[in-house]
Amino acid sequence: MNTPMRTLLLPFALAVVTPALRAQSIFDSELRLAPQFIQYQLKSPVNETISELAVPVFVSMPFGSSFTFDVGTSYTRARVTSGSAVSEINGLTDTQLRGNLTLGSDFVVLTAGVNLPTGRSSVTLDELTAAGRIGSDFLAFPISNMGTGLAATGGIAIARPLGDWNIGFGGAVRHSSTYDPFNVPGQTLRFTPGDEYRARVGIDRGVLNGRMSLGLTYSAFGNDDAGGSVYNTGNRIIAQAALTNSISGTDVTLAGYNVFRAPGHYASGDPAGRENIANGYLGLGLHMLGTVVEPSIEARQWLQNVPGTTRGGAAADRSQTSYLGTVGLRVRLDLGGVSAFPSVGYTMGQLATLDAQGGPIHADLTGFRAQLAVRVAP
Amino acid sequence: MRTIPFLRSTLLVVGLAACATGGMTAGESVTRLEQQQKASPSSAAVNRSLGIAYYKASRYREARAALETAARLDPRDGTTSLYLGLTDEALDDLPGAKAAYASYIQFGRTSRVRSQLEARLVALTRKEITADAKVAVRQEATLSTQPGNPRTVAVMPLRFSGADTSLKPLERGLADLLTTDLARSSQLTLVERSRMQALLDEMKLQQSGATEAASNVRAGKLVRAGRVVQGAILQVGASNLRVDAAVVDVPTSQVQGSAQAADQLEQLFNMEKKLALDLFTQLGVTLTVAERQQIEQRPTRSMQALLAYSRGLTAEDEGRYDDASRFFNEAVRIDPGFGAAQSKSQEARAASAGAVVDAASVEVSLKGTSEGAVIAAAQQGSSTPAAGGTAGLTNTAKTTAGDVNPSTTGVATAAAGAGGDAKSQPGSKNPVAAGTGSDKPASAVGMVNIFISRPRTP
Repeated sequence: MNTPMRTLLLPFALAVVTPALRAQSIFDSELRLAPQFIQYQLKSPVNETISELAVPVFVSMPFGSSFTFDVGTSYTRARVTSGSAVSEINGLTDTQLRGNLTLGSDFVVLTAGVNLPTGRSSVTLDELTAAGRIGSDFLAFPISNMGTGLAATGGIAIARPLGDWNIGFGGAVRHSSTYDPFNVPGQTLRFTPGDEYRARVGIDRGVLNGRMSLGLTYSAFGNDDAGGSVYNTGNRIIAQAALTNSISGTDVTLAGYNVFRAPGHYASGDPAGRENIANGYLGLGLHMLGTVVEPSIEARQWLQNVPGTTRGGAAADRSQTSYLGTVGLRVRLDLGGVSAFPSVGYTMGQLATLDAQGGPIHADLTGFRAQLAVRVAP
Repeated sequence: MRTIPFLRSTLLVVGLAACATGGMTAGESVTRLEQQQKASPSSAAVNRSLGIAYYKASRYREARAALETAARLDPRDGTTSLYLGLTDEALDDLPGAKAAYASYIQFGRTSRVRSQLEARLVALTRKEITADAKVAVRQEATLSTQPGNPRTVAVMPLRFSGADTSLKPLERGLADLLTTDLARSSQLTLVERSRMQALLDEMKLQQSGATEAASNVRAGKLVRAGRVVQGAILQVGASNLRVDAAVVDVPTSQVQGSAQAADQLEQLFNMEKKLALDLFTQLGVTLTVAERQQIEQRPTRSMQALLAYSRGLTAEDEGRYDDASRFFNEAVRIDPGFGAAQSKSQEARAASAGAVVDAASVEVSLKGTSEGAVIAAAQQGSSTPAAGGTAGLTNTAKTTAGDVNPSTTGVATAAAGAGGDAKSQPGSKNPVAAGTGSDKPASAVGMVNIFISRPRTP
């Protein structure tokens, strides 16, 4: 058995030994597995196909009533084809260990995590494009990187009532160690990601017979250092909103998020313009045929500011907008202690790019995704 | 035609703001929640909603089972405690209801409901005393054969005789003062005056013709008292009183000892203290210095305040809580330092307010709150608002912790989570891809070659 496979089986092993470790909250443990395939075809003039096959595994284990431990990793294969050129990377991603300790009052949670470098943080030039594309905030692949080296996160979250609202505050710091991002024979480039500081404020409350939540997360990134090139690609602000309700027997989920990235610089020194991604989702839970059928629609807009200096300094700044829309269908199947959620989705959209003369143009985009999410709870 | 439900639901979503309630029957809600409970038996939210749905369908025993499960899974959820209390009341389990309401008062989120339940607890205590009295009389054959504890003492209302009937309420007022003083000794356990009165009232309903002394002994047996204190107040002339008290051994019905005091009406408080101290002697109790000092304190020095207080006790015993509150307030107005009257006034007000607290009045208070949303969801056959109560706050804290320290695979498998989250979420930063721009679709391949060192920021 090779090493990645052994690591992949680690969560299963942990799940199996869990009963021996603890008996108090065994019924709250769960194993989640969500094999999924996602593919986007970017038509002319881009002519690129990006796909990801991911098998994420996540095990959550409560120890008593105040401590929860979870571990997760994924087998992932990313592939990009552009004409005859193919870039592909596959293997295990990093393994994330995380513990949440709920303090006496139950409304204070200390959180700590370790990112074990079991993944592919070092990639060859052939793999670079595939490893990079899955990091697209616009296409939002479920596994957005193959590995980022050893890192540790520590944080705290506090919740308090505010009238009929619950308000939550949280903050965390992530520190990453240095690693070699590129596996290029004869060359060594050390990369040290800057520390990440996250702060979040969120509120939620009951509305009608459901729940509404709003959240704002600010991520400030320290400077990254790639072989002496010190740069910062820009801080991020994520706003999220969700409303769930049940109307005449139909569960309704209305959700949205907005990711704003401030301007920054690439490792090359070129300016990276600000970006904004807005996403809206509407899902319905129809109770029929003894189960729940969930059709959904999702729309996303990606607004990019492209600094003119990136093309010789002559052109003025410009903006470009890309869109995509997805229709999806998910079904819930309950088999004893196992719940399965098969789902499919189809995406259409347009990606802003440049034509051969450097003029703005849109490439058509289509996509497909299929997922079988499974939850096993004793 | 499969598209019809989809279209119908889509139209319903468009009218989301206008449609506040659905048309699901209690039976349909129960059926759906039973299915959910089968799929997620260890979900506190599902068991809570199922319990509420059973309660709404008047299926109280099943409601209690589901709510008890929910309470085990989340002992700090206010809504669960609230409906457990309402269910216990429906099943005439008053101690259970009181415990559940106490839990809501500790953990519930809606302050108005907490106030309502605080009042309800007082009303339930009164109800419980009456119910206990009925049970005791029903089980008299058994209880009367069980010997009482000699240290347990019951003070009976003293019988008033005299021309001035305005002094008759002193029957209860004086008994209350004596009970308070006798309870100062750590060697005695006093039966609550209100509990004793409820028993006497119940016995009065059951029979007549028995002598007062025989009734007192019988009542003493029913409360498992070893001894009872009984007595009489005699008005002598226009302004003098004589008070006699006796200690009766319940098992033998024999008088163990007696105490007397006689003086002017204004000296009633001194008479009561003399009686109390004599009774301690008759009961074989030696007081400590501290106990004696406590006993020598007067709750009031106003005869008028004591009379108003005594009228309040009478009204309270008769369940006239508004009148009782008025009399106690009068006592406080006359003597603002009369602490017992102050607390009795609050108690009577609470009992009055608590008598009208029921599921409907509580649900009115919960309207528009997160706990109200839980109830509304249960009536729709849903446990969707998994928050609410302390579970809601805990969820908020945990969600916040998950957002500041996210797990990539936790998010990637969220579709299989307990909440079944199917929507996409923003991913975490891929630092190398972001730095090279290779995360942008349609960007050039092989940008690793363009690293140019920039001087470090000083």
